Formats: sequence, structure tokens, C-alpha cells
Amino acid sequence: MLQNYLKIALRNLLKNKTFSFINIAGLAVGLASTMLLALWVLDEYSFENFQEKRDVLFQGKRNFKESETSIWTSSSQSGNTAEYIRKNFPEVKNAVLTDWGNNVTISYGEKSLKKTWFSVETPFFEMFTFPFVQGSAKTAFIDVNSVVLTESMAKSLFGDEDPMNKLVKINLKHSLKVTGVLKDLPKNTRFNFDYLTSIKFLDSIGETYYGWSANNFQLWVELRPDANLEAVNKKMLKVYKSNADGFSNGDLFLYPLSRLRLFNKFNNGVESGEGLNSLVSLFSIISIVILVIACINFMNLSTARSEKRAKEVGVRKVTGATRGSLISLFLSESLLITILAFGLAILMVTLLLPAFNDLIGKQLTIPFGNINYVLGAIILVLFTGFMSGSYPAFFLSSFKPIKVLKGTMQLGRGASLPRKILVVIQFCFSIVLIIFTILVYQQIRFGQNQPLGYDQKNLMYFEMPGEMYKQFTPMKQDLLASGVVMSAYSTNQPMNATGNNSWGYEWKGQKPEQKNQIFDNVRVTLDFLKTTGIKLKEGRDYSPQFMADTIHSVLVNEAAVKAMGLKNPLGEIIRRQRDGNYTIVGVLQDFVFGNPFEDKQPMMVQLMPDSQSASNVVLRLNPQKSATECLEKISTIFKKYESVAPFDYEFVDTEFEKKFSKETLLRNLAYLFGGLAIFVSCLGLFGLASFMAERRTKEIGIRKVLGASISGIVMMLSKDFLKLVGIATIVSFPIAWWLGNKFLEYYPKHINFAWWIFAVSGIMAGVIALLTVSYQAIKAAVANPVKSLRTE
Amino acid sequence: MLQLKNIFRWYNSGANRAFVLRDVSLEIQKGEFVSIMGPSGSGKSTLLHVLGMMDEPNEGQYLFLDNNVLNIKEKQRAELYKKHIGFVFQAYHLIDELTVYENIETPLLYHGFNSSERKSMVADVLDRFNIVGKKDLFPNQLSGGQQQLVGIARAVITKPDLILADEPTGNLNSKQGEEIMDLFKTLNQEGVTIVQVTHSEKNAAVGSRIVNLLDGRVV
Ligand SMILES: Nc1ncnc2c1ncn2[C@@H]1O[C@H](COP(=O)(O)OP(=O)(O)OP(=O)(O)O)[C@@H](O)[C@H]1O
Ligand SMILES: [Mg+2]
Repeated sequence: MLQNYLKIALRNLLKNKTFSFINIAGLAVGLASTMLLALWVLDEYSFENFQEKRDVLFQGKRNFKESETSIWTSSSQSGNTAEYIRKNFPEVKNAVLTDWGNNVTISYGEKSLKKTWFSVETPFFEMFTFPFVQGSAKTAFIDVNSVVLTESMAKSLFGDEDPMNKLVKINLKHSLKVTGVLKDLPKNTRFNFDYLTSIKFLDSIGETYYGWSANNFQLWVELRPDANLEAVNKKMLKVYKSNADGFSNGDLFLYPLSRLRLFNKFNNGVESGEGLNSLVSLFSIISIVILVIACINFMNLSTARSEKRAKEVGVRKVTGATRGSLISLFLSESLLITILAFGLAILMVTLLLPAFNDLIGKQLTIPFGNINYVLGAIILVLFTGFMSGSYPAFFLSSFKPIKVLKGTMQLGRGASLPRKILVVIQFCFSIVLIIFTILVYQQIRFGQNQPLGYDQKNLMYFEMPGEMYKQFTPMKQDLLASGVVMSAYSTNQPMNATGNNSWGYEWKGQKPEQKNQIFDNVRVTLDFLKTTGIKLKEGRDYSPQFMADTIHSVLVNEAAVKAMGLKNPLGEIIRRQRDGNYTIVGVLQDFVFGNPFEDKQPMMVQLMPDSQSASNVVLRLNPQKSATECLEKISTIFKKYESVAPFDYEFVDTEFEKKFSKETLLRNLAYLFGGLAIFVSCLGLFGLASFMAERRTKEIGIRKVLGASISGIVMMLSKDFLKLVGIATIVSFPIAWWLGNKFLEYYPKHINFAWWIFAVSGIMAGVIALLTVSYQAIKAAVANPVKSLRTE
Repeated sequence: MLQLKNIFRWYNSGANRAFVLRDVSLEIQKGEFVSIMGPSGSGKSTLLHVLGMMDEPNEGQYLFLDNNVLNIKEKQRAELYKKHIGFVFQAYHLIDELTVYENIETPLLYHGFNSSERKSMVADVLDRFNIVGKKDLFPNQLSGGQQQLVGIARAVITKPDLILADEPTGNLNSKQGEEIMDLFKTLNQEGVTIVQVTHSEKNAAVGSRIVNLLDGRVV
């Protein structure tokens, strides 16, 4: 029976080439996009799944009350927390500190590489599944001067040599012995270190600070399996309070490791649901929508062809076919088409995966060997085949044999109504996607065009390895003398980022709840304003004339003035218990160092002496010189002061672009899948138009004989479709309006929904539909009427 | 074999009832060869469809092999039809996408024969109807007479007790028509009951009885 069905299905496929092509191609595109998205989504959901203890592992988070209305959630903790929790929480099996990881030079012999250095406490290895291939967790950090490498780190440093017990140098100054090698980290983990040292080692070189008001560590906690998270978190809230040393240091709570990847976004102290998961869900829905559009094509074309197949249905029923057997016949046809489409889709995915990986910045592969994926694929095919085939199957199999065989069956308005509704739905989806894509594009443009408050062009920075900062003054002179550098300063963090912040300041007129007001901290040497181009609003820049600047002066930005509520900021004093008093000597016009979509944060810029440990040098290049010449000269000067470490530099404008990576991903995905949705919808429209044209051949012939013009006939044939697209446009607007505004709300600073977007997308949909349909309409209209009438 | 009692069939056209069959009573015995005649529009096809359980009368009773056809469930009626009745059309109604062989095989699929049974049954029929050479051709590659032969072959392959034929020779020339009539005669002699609709006196005479319809009434 099935064999017979398939034989017929195959013949039908070959006989109706347009129909088959549209169905197979459309479904293949739909399936391919679903599969691509599924690979991505499953990869996102697989994060930390390999951790054997994933269900009992947590990151310590902390909520700060900035003001009555705003709570800020952070992952940084005081270094005292781990010890305190280990002692006071019987529910906790392990608690460790880690630092945040840094790109630091590691060298062995001649070889020197900049890699990610991460520091942990020993129980880290018991908690997280990062197995050793050489050495062991127990012995690795017995000696504080030890380092553990990942396999590929070891390979790139040592080649085929055995790394164990060899000495490597970190940041050109610390000699450490290799005491273990870890298996390379899986891709789906948030950890990305290349080598590990013990926190005790950081202690020994004086790079740690323990105090209840500090916030320089990450905290990881393993609960006992029977512990109740809620109960534990209730107790955690009191950790900082019961250790208060004059500051209110926020409320500690534990957050599941398994949620960190997708849900780690907080609004006023609670998970906001706006993490990566929102992007993942959005595109999961879009990929299913594309598949549905392709299924709709199949339904529409099948029912459009139903008059042709009605006779077959009648004959089969007369020869004894039951309705059930006819339904199976049509379903097996759609299943066959789906299977063919699936084959094509796999081919497409295989070919597109590298490009898709570029787009989303991953290295996904098709897991052909994974039984779950294979089962998933089978379910997908069955589901798609059933979804696209069910409506035609039930519709066609319901025909009454005498009606169709007598030729009195009329598939009038009633039969084409569902088809029209489906076309409207398809185009609704497409138009919403067009609008959404335009919005995303505009929002990114908006972010990029934000007045930055400084001049990005010809601005670069590089990191100073080891103790280079000690020679910053002579190096600065060399750089200026070279002619390629106009101005330079050093700073404690990469240009264009805000990493440090602090709270606990006092000022005149401060309200009680402002004790926790957080300020971004930037520390710079002289020439900060000259180099960046940031403007003074009032007051003065730091100057060598004022000896006290390095200890007693501070520059603040406009946002800080506003946050503090100062009328006349110049000369006001900001106090902090530990640090002392600072006088505001200047107010800077707001500038964007952090996220361009966020409101500007209050910031303090403090002056440090040239000799202080700074990590980065920022340079304003001479615009008259070429970039290559600049780099060459700067690199030579860098080598003069540091012969081993690589010269590693960034241009500020390219770094700035990277801040849009999430938005760019969103935009690229929207382009891709929006385009696909429109393509598949048009494919369906094209098919429908060709059937209409075919069915009306005789009518067109007669009209032409009676004197109708070609343009009149094209209009007549296109009009019906355009009407549908018009309805779809109108229906889609409120949906797009709602969705678009939801998207924009996500950004504190965003564009407004402009009405022209609706107009443009409506016109676009109309033009695309017209182009699609008119091909068939023109073909039918220019056909020789005598010919078409004779064939009747 | 079957009995129609006071059958009425009408269509509602506006406020009026347009009667197609009026008070038709008819009994057909097993082994009969009945020809239904009458002018165009007199309700012949409708009567045949009622007999073939494809159309339901608005009033009346229909007994088929002691089953009260109009009172039993759709499923049972379909079974009854499948088991006992074969239908032949004026317009042949072959499936264009299938070969001669496959067209003839189609009813067997729905009667649940397995593939080797089907093979031998189709081979038998092809042989008997002398169309072995045409088995791989598609309907549009056959003449009208040949197509009707296939149509009849398809109707008889399940060995029905009753063959209903609506103007089986209507589209054929007289020579082709004769062949078809000969075939019906042979089938009838083998015990198959046949009811045919025809406009031709000559073909009607082949049967054992003629039923005349006029304006939906048996006259
Ligand atoms: N669906 C319908 N709706 C309304 N009237 C119908 C319908 N089907 C058939 N009729 C009418 O029923 C009458 C009988 O039709 P039928 O097909 O039985 O005639 P016939 O005797 O077979 O004619 P012919 O010799 O032309 O085939 C006709 O007048 C026809 O118009
Ligand atoms: Mg008739």
C-alpha cells in the first residue's frame, strides 16, 4: 500500500515541477533555518551541562540598594565571604574565591604569549569538572608558586616537551612551576582560562585585598544536595550585614550556575528575563514561523490544485477507498516531499554552517552521531510532513465522488477563503519581520551615532606588560618625539571600558540613601583631556602646576554632578572614609566610555602620578601620518622598553564597534531570517499565481479576443494578491508596533518608532509581492489567445 | 437481490422542490441484466447512483441483499458497496497518473489483497480483456474503447455481484460499443447482475429487461 502511495506521490512530483520545486525548496529553507537555529539554541542551553555538579553549583551575587528606587546587582564579592560561608553555613559543601581573569603574558624560554590567567582556590577542582591530564588537584597548589596549564596552552608553550615541573614566567616577573595540565575546556562553559594559579599566589605577590567593603573576587558555592536554596539564601542576605564595618555592603545571594549563561540579567535585584534567553527564544519563534510559512505554502498549493485531484479522489472512492486511506495517501505524499526537503535542508545546513558560525561567533557542527539529534530530526520531519499535509489531506478526502465525477463540484469562494487567510498570515509574519529588522538596524545606528564626547579617530591604546609602567615617563617622551604621537597618558584600565567602580562617598547635601551611590572610577596621568578630546564644562584640567592634584583633586562628569545634586560643583568636597577628601576642580562634559545604550553613569576621574602602576597607555596619533608608519614607530619604542612581551594594541574605534556585538548579532540574524521568511512567502505566492494564471487561461484568452489590454489583464490577475498583501500589512502593524516597542524598551536609550517604518515596510511588501505575481500574470497575459483557446 | 420502495429524490431550488425521482419502486433479481432508458434529464444517472449507494434518496426504502441500506451506518454501507458493487462510467474515469496495470490494481489495494494475490488477479484480468500489451501505458495513450475496457476491468476485478454502468458506450463508436456489450453479456452469463443506463435501443436489447424512466417516474 505505502509503496503504491509513494509511487504515485513520486509521479505527481515529477509531473508538477513548479509545484514540487516550490514545496521542496520552501520546506527545505524552513527546515534548514529551524535546524540552524536549533543547533544554536541547543548549544546555548548546553552551557555548563558537562559540569557533574551543575545542580548544586552557584555563583555569589549581591544586590546593592543605590537609591530607594534602584537596586544594582553585581557578581563581585569581598574576599572574606568564602571563608565566612565555609565556617557558618553547614548547608555549604564548598565555597571558593576566584579572580576575574586577565590577559597576561606567559613565557617559557624565548616564547611569550598573551593568554588568560585565572586564579582559584584549590577546592575549585572538586566543584567544577575540569579534569587533570597530568598532575592532580590535590598536589597542584601545595606550593604557592605553581601554575596549571590547559592542554593547548601547554602545547603552544612547550610543543612536544613535557611541561611538568618546568618554570614559566607570568607577566615577565613571576617564575612559577608547572604542576599540572588540565584537559582543554569545553566550548560551552563560561570559564575561558588558559592557565591557573592559586589565590594564595596572588596573596603572596600582594595583589589581593581582603575587606568586607571590597568587591574584587568572584564567589562560587557548592551546596549539599539536600540543602534548600531559598532557605540558604535567606541566611546569605545577612552575610554582609553581620560583618558591617561602617559601609552597607549589600545583600549576598546564590545564583544557579546553570542560569548564568541565559538568564544572567537583573533589574532592580531580580532576574529580568532580558538575558540572552530572550534573544534565543525570539529566534526560536522566528525559525518556527519560517517553517510554518513553508508549510502554509504546501497547504495552499495543494488545495489550489485540488480541482485537478478531485477526480482521482472520486475514482478512488468509487473503487472502494475509505476516507482514512485517502488521508494516508495524501499524508504520505507530504511526508515524501518533507523527506526530500529534509535531505536538501541538511545539504544547505552543511554548506551554510561555516557562514552561520561566523555570523553568531561560534563553532557549531552538525551532530550526525548524536542519537538525540537524530530523533529530534525525525520528529521534526514527521511534524512538518503532518502539519503541511493534514489540511489538504482532510480537505481533499472529503470530496463526494458523485459530485466530482459528475463535474458539478464547485470549489467556489468557500474553498479559497482559507487559502486567502493563510496568505495573509504569511505576509503578516514577513512584514512584522521587515519592520523589526528596520528597527534593529536603526537602533544600532543610533547607538553608533551617539555623541561620544570624545574623538574616537586616531586614538589607540596598548597594554603595558610587567613593570613597564615604571618607565612610562621616558617612554612618553620617546613617543612624542617620534612625531607620530600627538599626546599620551597612562591609565588603570583599557580605554573605552568602565571596569572599576566604588561607593561609600559623602558630600554636602547628600541624602541618606545616597551612601551607596556608585561612581565609575578612572585613574589617569596628565594629558587625559588633551589625548581623548573630552571637553571641560567648567573648572580646569589637571595640571603639573597644582602639586596637590594627585591626592586631593577630582574631575567628575555631568552625570555625577546631577546624581549628587550639586548646584555649584566646583570646590565642593567629596569624602571617603578610607581615602580622604577630594575637591572637585573640574566638570567634564558627559562622554561614553561604557555601554552606549545605557544612561551615562556618574564618574570620577582621578589623577595618578606617572610612576604609579598603570596597565594601559592611550595615544592620540598624528593624523598626518599613515597608520602603518605610526604602528611601526610605536612598536619600535615599545620594544626598546620591553623586548620579550608582544606589542598588543587596539584602536578605540574598532573596539567601540565590538560593544555592538549583541546588537549586530541580532541584526544579522534578523536580516537572515527576515529575508528567508520573505523568500519562502514569495515562493508560495509565486506558486499560487501560477495556478491562478493556469486556471484562468481560457478566460484570459476570451478577454483578449474581446479586446482586453495586456496591462489590464496583468492588473486583473495581480489585484487579488495585492489586496491580500494590503490586508496583511494592516493586520501586521499593531503586532509590529507592540513587538517593536517591547524590543526598544530593552534599551534605556533608544530611537522612537517612526511612522515611516510602517509605510516603507508596507510598500516593500507590496512591491515584492507585485514582482512575484506579475511574472506569472504577464506570462499569462502575453500568451497568444488563439493558442490557449484551441487547447481547451 | 435488491429492492427500491417508493424512492423520492429532489433538489431544493428556491422555494420549490425539483423532483428528480418520484415514487420509484424497482426490484432486481440476482442474475438479471437490466437496461435503464429515458430521455436526458429523466433521472437515470440519479437512479443508478442511488443503487450504487453514492446518493441518498430523500424518501423511501432500499433493500440490498436483505440490508436496509438507508438505515445502516456509513461504514457498513461502504463495506457492502465494496464487497458487492462495481461501477463503470461513461467518461471512464481512470486515474491519469497511473498506468493501465495500476489503475486495475487500485481497487485490490482497498480490498486488502496482498501483493502476490494482486499480481495474479491483475494478470488474469489483463489476459481476459486482451490488454496485456497495454498494461504499462497511461490512460491518455489509449483509445476511448480501450479506456472503457480498462474501466470495466477495474470494476470486475474484485468479482462484484452487481455491476452498475452509466452509459458505458456513450463515448464509443458502434464497433467499440458492441465489444463492450459482448463483454457484459459474458459477465452476465457468469452470474453477475448488471444494471446499465443507455440511450441505445440496440444495447438495451442485450439485457433481459428494460426499465423506462420519464420525468423521474418508472413508466
Ligand atoms: N446537484 C443537483 N442540483 C440540482 N439539480 C440536479 C443536481 N444533479 C442533478 N440534477 C437534476 O436532476 C435531473 C436528473 O439528472 P440525471 O443526471 O439523473 O439525468 P440523466 O437521466 O442521467 O440525464 P442524461 O441522460 O443527460 O445523463 C436533471 O434535471 C438535473 O438537472
Ligand atoms: Mg446521466
